[in-house]
Amino acid sequence: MDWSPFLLSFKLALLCALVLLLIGIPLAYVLSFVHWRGKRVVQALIALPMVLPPTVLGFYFILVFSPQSSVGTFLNSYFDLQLVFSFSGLLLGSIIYSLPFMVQPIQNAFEQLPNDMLQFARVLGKPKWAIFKKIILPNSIKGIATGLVLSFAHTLGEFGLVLMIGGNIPDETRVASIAIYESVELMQMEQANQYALILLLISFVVLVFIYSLGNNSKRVVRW
Amino acid sequence: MNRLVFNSKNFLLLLCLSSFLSCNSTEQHANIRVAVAANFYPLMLELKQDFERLHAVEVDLISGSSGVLSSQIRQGAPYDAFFSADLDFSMDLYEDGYCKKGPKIYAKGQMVLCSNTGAVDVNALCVGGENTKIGIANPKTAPYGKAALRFLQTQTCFSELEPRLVFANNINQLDQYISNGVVGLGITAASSVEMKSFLKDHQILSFKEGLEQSCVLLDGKKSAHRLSQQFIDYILSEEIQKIIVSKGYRL
Repeated sequence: MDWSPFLLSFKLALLCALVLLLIGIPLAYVLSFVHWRGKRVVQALIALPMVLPPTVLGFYFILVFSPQSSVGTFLNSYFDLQLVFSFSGLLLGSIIYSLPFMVQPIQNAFEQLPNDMLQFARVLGKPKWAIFKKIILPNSIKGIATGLVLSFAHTLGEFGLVLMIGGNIPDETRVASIAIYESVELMQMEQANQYALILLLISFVVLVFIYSLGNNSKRVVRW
Repeated sequence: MNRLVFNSKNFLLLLCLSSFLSCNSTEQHANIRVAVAANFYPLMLELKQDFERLHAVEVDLISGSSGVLSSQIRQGAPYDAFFSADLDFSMDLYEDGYCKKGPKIYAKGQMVLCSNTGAVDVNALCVGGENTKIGIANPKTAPYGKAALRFLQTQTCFSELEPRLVFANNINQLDQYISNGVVGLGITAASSVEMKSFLKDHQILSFKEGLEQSCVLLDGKKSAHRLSQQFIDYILSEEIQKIIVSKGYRL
């Protein structure tokens, strides 16, 4: 069995989740702790990939980054970077596509922190940075872990976007979900079966992990 | 959990791991990327093996309908050569400056009417079968689909056949539809019958204009030009042409 689509998927999902972690925490911070105009609009923009068909995202991606476009020409001539049909493009697309899955759990965690706790810390004279590092982050760890795992899993299961902006290039853009699609098309059912089973198991384990983070398995609602 | 994520050493380790992951794909031996029309893909998978051995090169194949592949090329897909299922798609690429040399014919495709659920009869297309779906490849993107549609349009009962049509993305998907019996009838490539032993019955359609399947060397990566040209020459060589003809194509 050819493992390269899985390696590629893992590489993509891991890099994507790590980059999103770096973007997601500051973004969630300004969304939950800072008051500013136009916040709703930014929130809506971040959530867009959850409701948009991947094809819409793919279409605009191609429109913006194809070598004929001005952005594409610029990136190509100054940075020797091509974003359509390449791994870097896939990574950028996945980051946009999985952004809400990182930001929202972290934002929820931030917003659920007891207000008193943060105010006490302020009154006791702790600087903001120390409060963020010592109180906010450690107390939001479940949300951060959920965001990390969800965005990893979401990238792993990405299909439509990759099909549009990645093509099907071995070791570059042929990720696991694409490999399954192709195996079915070529009637290599055994291979499709193996790939699909592995993806199914991974997704299941990921979700069990997320639900067990909730720690609520023993607590039930009694009435 | 707290320590696990925020320990800076662990985070560095993760970053190292990911940078290692991103590095390993760059140090591969020579490879060329060849976009192949879906009908020729199963055969190409076999043909490329000898070439890979002889030239110590990896030939990565990307399969799809010719229309999809050619628009990917226009959008900047990094392919070194393109094997289309017709002359038009590669000629258009040539005229629009995506390649220096004009297209070469590497095979002439034939169509078959086939079924995996019962017997087929070209002359009885208009008789009965109201409930059977007829699968063809998407005429907008797949030359075989376009030719299949043209063939069906020559039938007197086309207006009755039209609502029964089902469109597949490319020949390989169509073959899968036919083999599963999702469509009772299908018009696919004759090579599919040779390459995949899945059909109950088939009949070659005599259609004057065969599909002139042509290939071009794309302008893309300069370093891959020599090998890609060699690969095209290899497919056009007499020995390989004989194999191609034996697999459902004609010359």
